[in-house]
Amino acid sequence: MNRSFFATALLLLFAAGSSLAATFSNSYTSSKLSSGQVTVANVCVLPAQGQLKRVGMKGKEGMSQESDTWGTQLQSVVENHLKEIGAKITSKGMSSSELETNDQLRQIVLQVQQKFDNVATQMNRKPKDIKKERYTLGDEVALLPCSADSDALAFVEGTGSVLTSGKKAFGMLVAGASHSDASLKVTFVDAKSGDVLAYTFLYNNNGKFEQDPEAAYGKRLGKEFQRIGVGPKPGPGSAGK
Amino acid sequence: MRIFCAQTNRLAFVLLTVLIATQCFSQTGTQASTDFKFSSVDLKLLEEAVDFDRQLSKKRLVLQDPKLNAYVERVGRGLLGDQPVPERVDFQFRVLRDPMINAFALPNGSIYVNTGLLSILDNEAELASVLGHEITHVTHRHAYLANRSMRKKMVVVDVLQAAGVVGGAAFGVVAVAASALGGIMVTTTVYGYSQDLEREADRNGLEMMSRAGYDPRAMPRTFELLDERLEYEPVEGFYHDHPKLKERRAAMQDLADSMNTKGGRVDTEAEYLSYSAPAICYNIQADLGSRRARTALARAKKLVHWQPQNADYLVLEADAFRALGGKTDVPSADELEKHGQAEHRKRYFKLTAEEEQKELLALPGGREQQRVNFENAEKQYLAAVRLDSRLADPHRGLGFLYEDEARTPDAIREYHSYLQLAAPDAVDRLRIERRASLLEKSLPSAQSGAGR
Repeated sequence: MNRSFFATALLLLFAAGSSLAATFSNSYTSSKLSSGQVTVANVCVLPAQGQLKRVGMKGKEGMSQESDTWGTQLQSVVENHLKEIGAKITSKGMSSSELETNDQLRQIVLQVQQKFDNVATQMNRKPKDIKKERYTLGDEVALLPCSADSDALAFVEGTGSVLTSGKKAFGMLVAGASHSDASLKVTFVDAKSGDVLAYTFLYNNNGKFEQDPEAAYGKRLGKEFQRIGVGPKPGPGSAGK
Repeated sequence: MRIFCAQTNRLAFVLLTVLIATQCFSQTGTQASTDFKFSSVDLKLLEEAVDFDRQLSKKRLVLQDPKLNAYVERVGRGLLGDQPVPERVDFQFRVLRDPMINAFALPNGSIYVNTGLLSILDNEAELASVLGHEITHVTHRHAYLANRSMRKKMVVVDVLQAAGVVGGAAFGVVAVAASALGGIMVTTTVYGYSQDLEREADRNGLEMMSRAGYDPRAMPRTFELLDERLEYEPVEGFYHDHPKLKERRAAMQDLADSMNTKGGRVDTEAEYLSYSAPAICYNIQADLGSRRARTALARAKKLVHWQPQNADYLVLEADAFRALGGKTDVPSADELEKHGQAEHRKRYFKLTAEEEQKELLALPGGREQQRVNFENAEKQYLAAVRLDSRLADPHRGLGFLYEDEARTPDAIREYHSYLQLAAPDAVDRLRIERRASLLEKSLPSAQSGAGR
């Protein structure tokens, strides 16, 4: 009797847990940034990588068009919140459409992105080590024209799973994922040395991340940016760098 | 396709799933059929293929080199001969900027050969064997057949997800692009069909190249090249594990021998390199950017062997020697053993490139190896300077080298030489200026002046 009661309670708890919408975030800052040794007042935001998948009862499938749009929206959200805290966006000439027509720049972006992907292999495993200034992309980041006018480069990555209604219903009934969910990662890298300065991770499963990324991430993103110390440092008679 | 895929992902669970899947869900081989009936699922796949083509072009992953493009196109068209083109197929042959050793065909007839694969081949007949294999996947509608198998789709979506998770470090850029697209189609086409379909593609590809006048023995030779092991492979691929690759090579060797075609066309390595060199140069840079210095060195040596008086190739070779640091240019017997691979895997995921070098240099063997590698690098940079005194790149390389060796005044001098010789809008001007300036600040003023 007792055993079945606990089993039922556990199941109900699990079902309730899986049906709850959740949002959380986490950030890591290098001592270089937290100590004020560097300031991130001018940021070059690299073209965001959005990656959405539709998950249905028959499996998963790609959403290439939606991913592109979502990536662009995420980039705007990040840029807007950086501006809100007083940072200047220096990504002029770096938009996806501009990269499509400039082969040399596109190759440089690919090269720097490749370097970032290499470092991300270790960084995603141990983001805490950002504090110890363990990760660097090296000064190859200076190949990007925007690095000349920037304090930092921002790498924006979004990954999400969009559940079909059938999959959601199945998840609720049989226990399992019953919400679409997505995460957003923003990594700030020193535009001169290539050192990773800060990393913010936001998770959201309220299902609106695709239609309205601002509502899904905006508020929390702004808070995280302030928490990690991105933006110009208020100084006597100066607004940063 | 995956026969021509020697680099792989690193997640063991994916491997396990894939291996089970490839064993369990094999599609049956078909004859090139003209009576293929398109279902709505097939048409959706075709749409995805067209979209994938568009995405690859949009992301500028297709290498634009008119001479090389025309060459690959010519070899591909030569294989097709006058055979009828299947319905809804428009054959296009392209080169992809991707160091992954791979080639794949989309069901709409787009055939892609990665720069990574072009770099390991030695002649036109080997290229023809790759293209013949890929053409068969299209003419025999393998993508559609594989797509109809739901289980297979699921497996490859997992592979693509893994590619998305680990990024470009272990996967090629196309894998990452594919993972972003996530189209099921990319599944099979990029990452392999069942063993039956692959064998059919081998067989038919070999017959096709023989008909086109190439020596069919080039196909088993290509398998041999795929077996090259210079770098640590995190996880073996669908078809690259030794027994299967060896089996397929043996099968193709038997078939080629049985054809008894003497005097088939092979063409020389020099002829092949005269077309493929730009792809190899690109690939060396990509390898250097993804912790694959051994591969970069092997390819650069090939170019230098072909044209020893080419200063650009000497610089690439020197760059690769420098990137090796404390590493040997070929893996030791220990590294190739199972436990050596496991150890390497652990380090690959645990350590950054810089930490790996630091660990190597903590040992006397590593320091000695670095000394030898740096000596070779300097020799090749200086040879490049002697060959072309107006070339800026060797000075940049020497600057990096001397900086690593803590020869600060020499490094400053080389950086300034670079800045003098490089074009005013050179992309790394700012980087070198910053390096020179930092080094100058680190020196006492008298020495700084001498450095200049």
